[in-house]
Amino acid sequence: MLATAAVVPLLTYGALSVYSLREGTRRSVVDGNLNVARQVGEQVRRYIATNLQILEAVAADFNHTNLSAEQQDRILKNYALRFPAFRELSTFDAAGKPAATSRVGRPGVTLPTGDVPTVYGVRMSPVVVDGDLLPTAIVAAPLGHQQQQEGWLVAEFSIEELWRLVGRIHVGSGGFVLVVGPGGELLAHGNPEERERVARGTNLSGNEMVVALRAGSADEPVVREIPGKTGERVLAVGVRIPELNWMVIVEQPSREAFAVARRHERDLIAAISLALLIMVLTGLLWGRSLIRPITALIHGTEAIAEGRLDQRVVVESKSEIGKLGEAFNSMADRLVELQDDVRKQERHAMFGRIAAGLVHDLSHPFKNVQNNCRLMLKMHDDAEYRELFRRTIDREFAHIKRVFEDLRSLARPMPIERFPLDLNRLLTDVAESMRGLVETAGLSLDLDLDDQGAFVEGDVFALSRVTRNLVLNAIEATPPNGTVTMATEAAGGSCRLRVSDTGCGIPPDRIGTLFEDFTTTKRQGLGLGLAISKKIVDQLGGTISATSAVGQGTTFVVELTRVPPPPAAN
Amino acid sequence: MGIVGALSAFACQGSSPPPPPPGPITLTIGVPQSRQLDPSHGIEALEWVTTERLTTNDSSGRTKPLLLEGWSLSADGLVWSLHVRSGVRFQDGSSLSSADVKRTIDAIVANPAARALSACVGDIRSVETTGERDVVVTLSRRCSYLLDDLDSPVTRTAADGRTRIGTGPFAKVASSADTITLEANRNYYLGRPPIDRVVLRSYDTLRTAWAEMMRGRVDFLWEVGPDTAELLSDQSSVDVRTFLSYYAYAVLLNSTRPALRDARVRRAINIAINREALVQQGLRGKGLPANGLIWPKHWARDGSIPGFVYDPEAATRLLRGEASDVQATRAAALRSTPPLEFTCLVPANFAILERLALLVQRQLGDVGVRMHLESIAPSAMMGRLDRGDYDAIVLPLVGGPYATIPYRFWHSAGPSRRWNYWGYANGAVDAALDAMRDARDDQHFREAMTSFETAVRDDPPAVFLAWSQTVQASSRRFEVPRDGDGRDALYVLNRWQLRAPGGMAQ
Repeated sequence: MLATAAVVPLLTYGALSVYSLREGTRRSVVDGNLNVARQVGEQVRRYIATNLQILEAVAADFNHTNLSAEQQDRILKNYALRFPAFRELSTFDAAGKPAATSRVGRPGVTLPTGDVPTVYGVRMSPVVVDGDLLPTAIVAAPLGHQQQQEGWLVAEFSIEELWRLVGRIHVGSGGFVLVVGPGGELLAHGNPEERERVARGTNLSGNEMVVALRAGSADEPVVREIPGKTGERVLAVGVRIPELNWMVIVEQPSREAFAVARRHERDLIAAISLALLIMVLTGLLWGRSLIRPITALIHGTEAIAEGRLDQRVVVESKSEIGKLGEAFNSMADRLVELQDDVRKQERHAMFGRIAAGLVHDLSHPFKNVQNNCRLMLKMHDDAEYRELFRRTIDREFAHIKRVFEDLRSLARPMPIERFPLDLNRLLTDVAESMRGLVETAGLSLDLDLDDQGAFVEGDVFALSRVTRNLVLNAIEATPPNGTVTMATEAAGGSCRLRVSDTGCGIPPDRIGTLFEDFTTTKRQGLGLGLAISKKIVDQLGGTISATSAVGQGTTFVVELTRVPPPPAAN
Repeated sequence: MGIVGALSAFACQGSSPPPPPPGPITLTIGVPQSRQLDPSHGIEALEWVTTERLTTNDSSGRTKPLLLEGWSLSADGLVWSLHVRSGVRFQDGSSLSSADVKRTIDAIVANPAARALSACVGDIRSVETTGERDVVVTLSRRCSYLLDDLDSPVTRTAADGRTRIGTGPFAKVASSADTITLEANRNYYLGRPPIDRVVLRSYDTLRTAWAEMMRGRVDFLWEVGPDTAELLSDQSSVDVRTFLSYYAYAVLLNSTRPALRDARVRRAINIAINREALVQQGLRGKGLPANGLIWPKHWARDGSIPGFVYDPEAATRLLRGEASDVQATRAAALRSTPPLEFTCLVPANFAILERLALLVQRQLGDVGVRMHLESIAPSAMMGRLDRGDYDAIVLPLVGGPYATIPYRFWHSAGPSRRWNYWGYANGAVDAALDAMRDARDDQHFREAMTSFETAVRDDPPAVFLAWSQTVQASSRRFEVPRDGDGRDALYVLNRWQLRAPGGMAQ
């Protein structure tokens, strides 16, 4: 976003600048070429006008002078020598009969007749290229007054100076000027290579520029880009010379005409690109310097979140980011300290709980052993008592042994063997073995077994232990007169073993941690029973869950994969 | 017709030319007929490329061997031993021998016109072959102009008994009214020319010839006028070459006419002419002011001899003080009229000559000379000259490269007047020309030529205006050897080559 925000305005500015430059330069080039065309037009007009005015002035010299033919002849010769543009000057009387001439011999010109335009008061024939390759027009100025025309002064007007004028003008290295007559005839071409077209009498009536110029108004310039002879685009501008009805066209290859514009355009694009590149690079470097500490902070945070509290960030900056990095590192240091504290406290708590549990779990059997040992001293000769003593000692040591086995089970998984077994039978055996405890606690024990049998694949001893743990928990959680229910249920592909009580229930916030090590809802004990039970069920590929309502009771459900009953069971 | 041959080659013919004949390498030469003065000569004048002569001239006008390998002169200057070049073959493959040379010289001797024109032919006593390649010419008197006088094509009658064949690099194979076709002479002794075919074609106007050149149908314009040379010079496809021609524009003064009989009058006329202005205004700068009758590049010419210096005031004084005797009968009655008046013939329809005549007329008018101009058709010109029916005439007059040309023009003695149509006679001039004829070596020749120029300046037979420059245009398709510069490119036509697209000659 930051880069876009920086680059887009520059790109927009660059595009606008290029467009503006292109249009401006194009306009400038076109205006320049038009200016050339206008200036050439003006020079041509002035050249023609000056010579025609000279002719009129010469004609005026003859008015009412009553010069003899010989005198006229001499004057005409002098004028012809003085004004080389007039290769011949001859006078004709009103009837068209030759009177005098600058030529040696008879006049070579005749009075232009027909639809000949009048330019500056002089009749002017179309321009032709004569046998000596020179552009020539026959011009005739009237002699005498308008009321009484006495004849004509006719001149062969060589306008070769027009060729020189046009030939001198170069627009760039490839641009030239064309002069076109009213009938589309090419009168002059600035390109020497094209001059033969003039000699050949090329007519440009069909030329796009000529057509446009003739169709437009006299003072309306024409600008076109047209294909040149070689197919290359040519910038052509044209103006008219209204007094002569001639046209001046300036042609220049577009490539050359707009070369400066294109060069400037390229330079501008290069400059913009360079600026853009510098900006992007600068942005990248700056952005990276800005983002790097943030990234480091993110990585550090993630590491902390993953528990790697030794992670620290390096932010060498005095900005807020630098301060944030220092704060992060301080925080991490503090977290390490807090974690150590928590661990110490947890170790202490766990040690205390284990110690308390061990005291609780072992003190009663030790007490029983101690009491029975004292009774044995007194009743050592009572055979019945000795038998009772033996059973009591065996039971209490078995209890002590189970406590140790529970502790050992937490350290390493217990070996599991899988055999098909009937949960109904397993629950019946466990119920039988624990009925004494239930009754001692003032509770009733119900069995609710699935009639169809509930066969699973499992270790009978491990599952018996799970069941006993659950029943013991239920007994301990249920006040007298309560009921402990053991049930099986086979449905679909699974069998469920359910142990429920009508005890005090478990608060919802404790349900989630019931199966963790050393977690117990009881006031005393190690709290390893449910954790060991879960490990066993997990090893058998089943699940164990608990639902409880405070004050109403708790139900534990063990769900295992159902297997068909073995043939012997059938 | 002798003068016509000396003036230039001219003809007036015209019809649309046929397309050029096919051929591997064809060079088409366009000859604009509007540039030609003499109607009796057209493209035929360029047929000389088919033949060769005994000698040629280098760019300084010095005689050089061509079909002759060399020559020697006896101590008394009467016996010329000519050595014919070996290996030369005619266009039919036959070898050139001393007999061919003898036959050519005999033909010249037997030709009355040639005898009349030459300075030495009348003095030839015998022509003998002394071997396959040796010819001995014996004269009755010394004559240094002999080789110039023998300047005639060496030809032989072909096997068909009609066709004349030469030894030139090209042979004529066809001709029509406006086209002559030449083909390369495979037997040419200097090697077959790279160009296979040459087409000489006449055009009515320079414009049509040039337009044809632009279309690629003409490769060489033999002569382009000074008016248009400037316009052609910047064509990238054309090489424009300019060289000082052998012709000078001159106003020939008929010294037999009373008005022009006095040498002082003619000197006055000469110094009344601003030749620099004539070159600029009349020839657009394409020329060289002419200060004498000798071609300015001639090896024997002494360039230090002062020419006529433009001095209109001196001319006026000279004319008023000295010409009055000439016009004594009118001077008293016509004090207010110009002291000198004469008519100058101007060949019709030649813009340059007309413009020069008008300029001369104006310049002479500035010193009080009334020179009337009379247009004359070229066809009528020779008759007027023959009859001496003229005061003056403006013409291009040949001035080189042969040293014998002044002799032909200005020597008054002899059985014929040669080219001296104007009846010019001056003892000092004759003596100088005789001394040139009799010169024993270059030094004597130079001294004699200096004497001639001095004598002519004292008694000028004409107003030499300007040496013209010839402009030729050749297509860049062809490469003209550089040693062809400074003279007609056709002199080296046998070595023209087609230029390769990259610019190098093939």
